[in-house]
Amino acid sequence: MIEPVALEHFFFFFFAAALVIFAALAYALSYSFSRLYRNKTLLYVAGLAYGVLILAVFWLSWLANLHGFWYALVGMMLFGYGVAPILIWRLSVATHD
Amino acid sequence: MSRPLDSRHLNGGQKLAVKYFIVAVILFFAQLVFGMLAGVQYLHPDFLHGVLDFNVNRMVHINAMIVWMLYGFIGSVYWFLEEESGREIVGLKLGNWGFWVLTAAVTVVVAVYLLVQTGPGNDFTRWFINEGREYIEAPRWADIGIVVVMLIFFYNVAATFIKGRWSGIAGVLTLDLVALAGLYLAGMFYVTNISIDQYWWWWVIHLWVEATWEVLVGCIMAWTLMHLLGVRRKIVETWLYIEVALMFGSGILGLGHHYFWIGSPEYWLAIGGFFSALEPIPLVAMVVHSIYDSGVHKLRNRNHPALAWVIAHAFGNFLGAGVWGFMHTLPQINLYTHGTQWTTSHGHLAFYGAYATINIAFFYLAVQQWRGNVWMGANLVGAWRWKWALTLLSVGVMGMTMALLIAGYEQSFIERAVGGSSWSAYFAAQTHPWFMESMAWRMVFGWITIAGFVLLAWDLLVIGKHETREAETLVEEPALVGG
Amino acid sequence: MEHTPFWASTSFWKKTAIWVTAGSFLLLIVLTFDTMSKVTAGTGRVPDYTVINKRIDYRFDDKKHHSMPVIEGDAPLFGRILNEEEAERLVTLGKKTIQAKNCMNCHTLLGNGAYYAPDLTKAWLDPAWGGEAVRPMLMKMFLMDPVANARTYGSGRKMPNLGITEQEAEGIIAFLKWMSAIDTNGFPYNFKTAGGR
Repeated sequence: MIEPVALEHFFFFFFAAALVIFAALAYALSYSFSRLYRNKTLLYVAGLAYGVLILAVFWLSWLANLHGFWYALVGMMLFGYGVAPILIWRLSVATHD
Repeated sequence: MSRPLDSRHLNGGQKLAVKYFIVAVILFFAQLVFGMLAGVQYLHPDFLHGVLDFNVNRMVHINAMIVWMLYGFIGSVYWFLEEESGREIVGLKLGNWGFWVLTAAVTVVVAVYLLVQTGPGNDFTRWFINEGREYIEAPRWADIGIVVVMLIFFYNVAATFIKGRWSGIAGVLTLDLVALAGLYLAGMFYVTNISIDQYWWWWVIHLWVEATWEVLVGCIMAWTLMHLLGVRRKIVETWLYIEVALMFGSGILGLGHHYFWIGSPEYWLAIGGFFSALEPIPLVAMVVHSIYDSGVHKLRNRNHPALAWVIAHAFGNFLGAGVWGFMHTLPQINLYTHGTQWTTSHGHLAFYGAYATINIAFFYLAVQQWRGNVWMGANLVGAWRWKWALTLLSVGVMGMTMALLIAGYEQSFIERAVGGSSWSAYFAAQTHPWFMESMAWRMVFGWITIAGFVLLAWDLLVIGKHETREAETLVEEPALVGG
Repeated sequence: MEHTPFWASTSFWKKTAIWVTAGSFLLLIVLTFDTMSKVTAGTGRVPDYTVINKRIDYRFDDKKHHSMPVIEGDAPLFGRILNEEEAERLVTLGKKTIQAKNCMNCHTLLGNGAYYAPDLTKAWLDPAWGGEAVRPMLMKMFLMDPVANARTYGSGRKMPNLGITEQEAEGIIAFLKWMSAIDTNGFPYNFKTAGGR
């Protein structure tokens, strides 16, 4: 069912997991501020943060041996953390109108 | 000239709320004191050995936390019940009686914890001394008392809303309280089979802390945002529903991450792993929405300390629940981190970020009103106190969290991964210099937390006392044009 | 301004919240029924209480990629073979004592509890307690007077005297032996038993 993290990957796993969430935060922050201030540069920063998120998720999946149906988890994280800020922003705009 | 705290500024529910808040602050202090005693015992195991052993201190530490937070929530609900429903509380006398019964019961339970501590291995002990299950140690008689008082509380809330104005917040709150009380029943029976015992035990612990409490806080926050920032009701209620969908959607089956290693079937590894990976998404969503909100309001508000604590809540919740939670929740790593100081590290930051902060924010709202709607905006007299209280408490908790993180990393590595989880491996990890130094640092930051608490308590007693200005009137937010 | 799209309307999210909550909860109930049927004592993952009459080991399972409890041969506890009812009574006394003495606020059981003292999940199998011939006696002596028989491993941490009677101590040991035979999906990781590989 699971293949535990290997001993030599121990430290990096925690690092990668924290990186995933921090990259998600950086992406959400830069995306929302780019919308709020209509700032193009911040949108590129958001893209960059999402790039880091992708790398972090793949790194995490390699460290945690996410094979087989665990791939679905990788896909879901990439999709979920990717679209959540965009959807929530739209929802914010629409609900406040 | 000074402004006294004056109950004439409060309605019936608010007078009762203030009682709950006072006990909450006292229990908050008890939580810190007993946490410190337990912390000292890591460094000096003979300290109070045989008098107040670690298990007693630790039990009072975590029970005081649960109960002070609940007192804060209950108080907050009583606080806004009359304004939200537009009428006097139905059965307020009963509610007052419930407060005294609950407080007397808590006092007796703690006295028995401290003086009797344990009993023989029979049913009497479980009914009258100690149930011996983490977080819900309260003996059975007290469980029944708690349920009775919760029913009174529920009656106050539901009947007041039904006879008064029924709002979206009222609906979510009422249903959430049913769930909250109902879940407690899942922890009120004895079973020998420990796999079944822990299965239901987690229903209480997880579905309280990671589901119903979050929604309860969502209701309190919804009312607070209307009151503090002037957000329109329709928006607040829509977002309350969005939050319920996200929190319950990820939180209810997130329960699975507690079922990895207690004897439950293997499919929980997958369910727990999947929902745990999704649990930070609501937090990201809240970040996006609060940035949007801050763009609309420019954070104009009438109570700076309360808003600062709400912001601390956003950060603390994100770090404690989001980052710290995700770092050790996938089963591939949880196999090593389960049952180590990792959990302690996560627990300290998550409870502080998610619940302590929001209760403190509400205390400030209450104190403002209690002093006759006093000014708590810019250039508040003696503002250094709340700023330093916030700083010291946050630095203290964050410092303890980091120290425990290092201890947890060391423990999961040396005891679990390398040592093979035997008793000798356990002690090898516990006596390792990294571990001992972490525990020493935890004490240092514990003292900082205590200092922050002392300032906080002092500030709550005196804030606004020498302020002559009234709070500004609240302007309802304009709709953001375009966007 | 005038028309909020349906996906941003209050009523849409109200319904969504209700359906998501109800759906998740319903799924949880179904899973709970299934789990209960699989963790009832004697149905496979959680052993029957008479397992305390047997020899228990914990070995790496190549197919499952983690350690599994292995039950083989007779090894009566305290020299007595107990029938189903007696075994359950003894384990129940142990469980009630473990709750009454508040063990969980120092120790962890199945990894849950406090972290001031060792995990008890596989304590019965721990090499520290010697071979099966002496283990029950050593454990009993320890439980009845943990201060005099302290095992601190240089940590200075001592279990306090909790007034555990001989009967209660036997119950606790029976409970620990039974608990060590629960299939915990490989937790704790990499655990090596006294007699095992």
